[in-house]
Amino acid sequence: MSVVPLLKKADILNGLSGSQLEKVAELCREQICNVDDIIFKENDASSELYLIQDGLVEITLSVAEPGTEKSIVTLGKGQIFGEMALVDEGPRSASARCITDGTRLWVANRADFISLCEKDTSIGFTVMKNIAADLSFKLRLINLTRKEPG
Amino acid sequence: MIYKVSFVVQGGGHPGAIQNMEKRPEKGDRVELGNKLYEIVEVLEIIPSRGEFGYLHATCRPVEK
Repeated sequence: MSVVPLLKKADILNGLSGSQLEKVAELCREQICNVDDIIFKENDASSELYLIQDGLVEITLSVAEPGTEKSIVTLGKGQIFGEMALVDEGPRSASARCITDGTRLWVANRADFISLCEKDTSIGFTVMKNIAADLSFKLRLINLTRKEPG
Repeated sequence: MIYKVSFVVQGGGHPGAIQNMEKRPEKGDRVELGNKLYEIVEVLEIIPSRGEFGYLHATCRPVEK
């Protein structure tokens, strides 16, 4: 199955042409996960970017009490995660855990993605601009959540 | 148009969620986040739409399934 129709619905790729989306599609591999599968853990080395085709992924942070995690957001269809690795190359800032059976992800290797962005700087500029907008959108959600009493 | 929607649940019992929707969510719609059901009580456009994407924020309250 081609991933291009899904990529057209991912806002981090908003503005790319059909041929540019094909180039991105060549980097993607499919991954299926089920409830409680850990996709990556906080502080792991990071090398991949993920796009959710179907299902839900919970992003969690470890808190002071040992063995305790705090859920910070649930991500669904069309959302990306692991994108901070693409930008800053640091370790994972949070953990990602699958919370629905049959969650379908598309995974791209960071180095391959950066290489594509450098070869085709139009892709690079568009994707980086969209990733900045996506991070901003997530920050706005966190701000709105903090305003909620309770 | 694809709507990228951030959901905040009233009362703080849920961390919030983001997902894409192909239909614009409206007040009174019900949405499932994980295995729980919520009703949308307010929808705001938080940033202007860009290209084929609209960016919305929905406030929800838990309801029984």
